[in-house]
Amino acid sequence: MAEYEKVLTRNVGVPRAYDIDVYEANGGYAGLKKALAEYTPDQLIELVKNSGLRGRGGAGFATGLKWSFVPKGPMQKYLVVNGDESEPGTFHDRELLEHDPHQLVEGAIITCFAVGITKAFFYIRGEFALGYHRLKNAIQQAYDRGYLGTNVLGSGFNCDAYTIHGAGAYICGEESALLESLEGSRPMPRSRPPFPAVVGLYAGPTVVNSVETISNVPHILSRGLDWYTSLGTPPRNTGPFIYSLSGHVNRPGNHEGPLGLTVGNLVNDLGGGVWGGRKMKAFIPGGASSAWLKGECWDVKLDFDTLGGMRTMLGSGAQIVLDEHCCVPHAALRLAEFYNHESCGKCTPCREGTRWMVKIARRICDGQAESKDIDTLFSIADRIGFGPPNKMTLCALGDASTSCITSTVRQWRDEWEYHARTGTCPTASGRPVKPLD
Amino acid sequence: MPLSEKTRAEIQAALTRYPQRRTAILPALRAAQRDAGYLGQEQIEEVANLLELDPNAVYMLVTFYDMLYREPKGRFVLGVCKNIACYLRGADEIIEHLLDRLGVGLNETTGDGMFTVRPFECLASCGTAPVILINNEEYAERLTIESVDPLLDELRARPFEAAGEHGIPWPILQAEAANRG
Repeated sequence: MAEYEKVLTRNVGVPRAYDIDVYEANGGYAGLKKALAEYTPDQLIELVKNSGLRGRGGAGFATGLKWSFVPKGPMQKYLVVNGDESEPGTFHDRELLEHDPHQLVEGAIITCFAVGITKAFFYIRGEFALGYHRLKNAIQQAYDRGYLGTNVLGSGFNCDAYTIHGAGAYICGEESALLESLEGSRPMPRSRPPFPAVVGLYAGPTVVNSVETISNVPHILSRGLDWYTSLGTPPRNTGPFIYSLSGHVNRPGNHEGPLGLTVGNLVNDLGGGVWGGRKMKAFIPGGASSAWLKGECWDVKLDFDTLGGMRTMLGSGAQIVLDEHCCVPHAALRLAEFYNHESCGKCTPCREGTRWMVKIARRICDGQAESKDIDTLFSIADRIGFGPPNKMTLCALGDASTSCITSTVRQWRDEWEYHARTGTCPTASGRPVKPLD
Repeated sequence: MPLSEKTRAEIQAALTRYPQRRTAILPALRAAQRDAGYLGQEQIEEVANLLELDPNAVYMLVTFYDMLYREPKGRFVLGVCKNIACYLRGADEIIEHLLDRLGVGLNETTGDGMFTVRPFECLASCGTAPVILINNEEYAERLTIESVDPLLDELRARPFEAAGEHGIPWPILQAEAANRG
């Protein structure tokens, strides 16, 4: 693996990196100064489009393109930074908030300038007390130094920032549910179109981007387009990327590298290999919502298009390793339980489907089922689709809830069958996973 | 018990902080819960009055969000993560040990009112799994069965004012206060 200089997580471990003096001493706010001095808003949108930056929150939508959908004109527009990171396996935004909040604030101000936004909201997951505290302090410091407020750095551009702390709901990470939460309603997804870029917060045009996406923006300016596109595979899979690696590896944690590392690079070179010298049985490439891969996927490139072509996705950028002793149906059941708990209840297929998936999967794991129950399980999962052809739910949670079931039934049918018949596990006894030592 | 003057002032301030008042509902509810420990009928009505809303508009949020409690909890709410990353690294054994040690079940409070254990679905700390989140603000990470008992002892030994939510983990709050002199 080639040498890589950390960018997004370079300040993790630097003492007091959340303080503006330390951030500025490390070259902070240079991107913002450059943006205000050398670029027009339209040129900035063009720059981000050309960088190939795609949303790191889950969907992988082109960020510059999203910005360009916002109508021009004098109406009040909003930026909403989505920091409601709750996808199982994902923990990079929490680290960015706790260790480098100014990087996010700087990126958000540049975004506002590019899109003609004067009000930026930071929606932070309720459980992130320290990250929220550090971000609030960072925003205050940015006001004190003139990076926020009226007439930012003498440019004539005004920008205000607001923070809001969530209260524990996975669905708030879904952009339209997040807007409902900000408006003080029960956070349930909206029907689209219209998309938030046209009708968003308080019915104004709104850009919604995740913490990691916005944290990329200052570096595109300060280090330039050529540097940015030299990472990964241009034109559609570029830039630095934080891989949140967890599960049965020797060195779990946030590992930064260029987009498009192979599974082998990530798990062996950065993650120190599967623990205990065991074999990898399964690999989840993009958070709980992505379809599982078989353990032989060592050469698969972790980027949006490669994984998309394999009927899975890079999603939120969380990679989970399951070793050979792990029980696939039990692990899949855990994920199904997550979606059952977090389904907001608005759309019937997701509300009812997730509940039945858990019930049936649990019966199978307990050995109180037969082979045809696996078919029932699969067919329920197959019918909660969000994307075409069966667009049954308003948001992607419906679809996301099914991949843990469909992909494991497809690839480990024998193991599901064994559980259904015997109620025991072919891999370990009863308890599917035993930790080492 | 009615909300304290400080909390009422905090809620009033939230009402003018955001471009539209309705955005302040969530901050108001969190402030009220920090004060009262939970959101019962009385607290919900008081928040609704301050926000000039129907209590139902407030109640429907309290029933939706996991972190808003409808009944009193222990001084320390231990949120145990049971989802995939923690599960893969032995969370089930740790939860079992914790419940056994405290003599309670999930979502129950110990007789002395000290601890409530509640299950969580992923706490965004998968790289340091398994984890427990204390009072929705403080992470105890890389847990092992052996580290559970010392953690409980440490929490029991904390001063009374350390319980509840502070908006920032108690040890960091203490450290920052010490830095300021």
